[in-house]
Amino acid sequence: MTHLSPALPASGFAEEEIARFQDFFYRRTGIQFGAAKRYFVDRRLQERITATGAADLRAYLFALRHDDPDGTEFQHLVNAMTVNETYFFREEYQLRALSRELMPALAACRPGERLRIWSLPCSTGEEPYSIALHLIQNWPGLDSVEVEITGSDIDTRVLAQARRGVFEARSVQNLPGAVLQRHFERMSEGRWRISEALREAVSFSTANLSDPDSMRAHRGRYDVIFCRNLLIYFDDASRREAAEALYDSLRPGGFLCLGHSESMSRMSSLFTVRKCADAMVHQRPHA
Amino acid sequence: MPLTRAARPRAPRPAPLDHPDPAQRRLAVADCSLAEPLFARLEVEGDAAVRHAILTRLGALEEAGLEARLLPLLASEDVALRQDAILALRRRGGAAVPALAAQLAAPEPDLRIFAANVLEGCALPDARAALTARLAEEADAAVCLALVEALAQIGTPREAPALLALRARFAEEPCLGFAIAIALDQMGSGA
Ligand SMILES: C[S@@+](CC[C@H](N)C(=O)[O-])C[C@H]1O[C@@H](n2cnc3c(N)ncnc32)[C@H](O)[C@@H]1O
Repeated sequence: MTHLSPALPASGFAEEEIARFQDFFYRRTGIQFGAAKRYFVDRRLQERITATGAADLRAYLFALRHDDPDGTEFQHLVNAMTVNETYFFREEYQLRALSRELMPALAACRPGERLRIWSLPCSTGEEPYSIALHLIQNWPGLDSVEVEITGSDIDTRVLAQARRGVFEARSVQNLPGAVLQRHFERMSEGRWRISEALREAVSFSTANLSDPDSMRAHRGRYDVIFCRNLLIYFDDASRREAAEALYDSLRPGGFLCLGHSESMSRMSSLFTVRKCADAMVHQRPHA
Repeated sequence: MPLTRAARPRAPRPAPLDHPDPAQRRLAVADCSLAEPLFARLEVEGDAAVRHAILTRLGALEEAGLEARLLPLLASEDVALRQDAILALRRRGGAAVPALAAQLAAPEPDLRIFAANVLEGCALPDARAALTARLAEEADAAVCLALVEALAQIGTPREAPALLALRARFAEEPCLGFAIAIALDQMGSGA
């Protein structure tokens, strides 16, 4: 859309109120909006205020805190506030490490067991589908080992898109042509739909890395977790909390792959570092 | 088969906070929703990972008013514990600012410095107001330095006059003058 939207003032909120909102949002999601994000935050907030018919930001915040028992409006707000940029085979070197070293190592030490991989956050699904595609192409062990791949995100709108599995040309541009031909169906307007087999191979669910209640359901479940390009939106305090929650979600000996330059000091005391030929990953020590 | 009470599914009982296995204690901490038993456990807990987990949990709990009980930990001799307490207070966001603002007036300069160290991660108007208010009264140069460094992280051009006034008041402290220049620069008010 190119036209301007006169109903949305760029920055009409009092600093006090915006700060109160950001504090609320930070407590619930771990996300810290810097001053540079102010325009983005104001616009999205104004959209929610208009959509709910609240008189102003103060009234909107009050309703969020006290009149949203099932969290419906909070979910709309989260969906509006998150940055969901992603694409296939992003930071492919980590996928190589997964196919060449992590999966063989896990299969060797857990013979006969199902291995579980979690993409948190998965946004519109490119990451968990990339994991599936990479393993199909590059890991022969898939013939004998059962692998379960789950994608989760705090944003329910992107999860619905992920389940549909339809992607823009821009999103698939890193994929080798052969992979695209083999596993995708070409649709109108340059879009691509991933095959039904792959849509069925990956399951999606809602999860909030900053909510201990939400994370509890995943405790001790995964052999590998990809948590990439989320911690950049967190501050040191919510990152520390995330490190503990990710550790608890891994089985002993499991691996954590963070995005480029997302390592943190707290990692060093919880995890050991494993240097693969293609990437550096964190490992929860064996029990 | 007849329905019996035994057929009713029972939630697994969480491990107690004093479980002999530290791994179980970590999980018990993550499941505990009350501050009191966590603070009590912290006093006797010998395992570093469990202490970390306790502070993480205290940062996340909904319970109001526990900030005041976190503050004394900022003065701990244990560097890791102190660092964890800083992060736990920051994770509590705006709820921690009133207690920290009060500690900015503590009689011991060290406690004032620790409060400033936490506030530098709280980018909120109340936190900026508390730092600038203290700046106007603070006589200890080391505390002033901590206040200035905190404002360098979260200050806005609105706090610049308070820093300029401080520079005038401490004209004989070049180190402070240097920190103020950097802070003004970072706040977008560099001359
Ligand atoms: C930039 S995308 C990253 C997607 C993918 N991992 C990648 O690297 O391409 C960030 C995602 O994090 C999600 N997110 C933000 N806060 C979250 C939270 N607290 N818990 C789970 N997901 C969150 C957003 O909804 C968004 O889809």
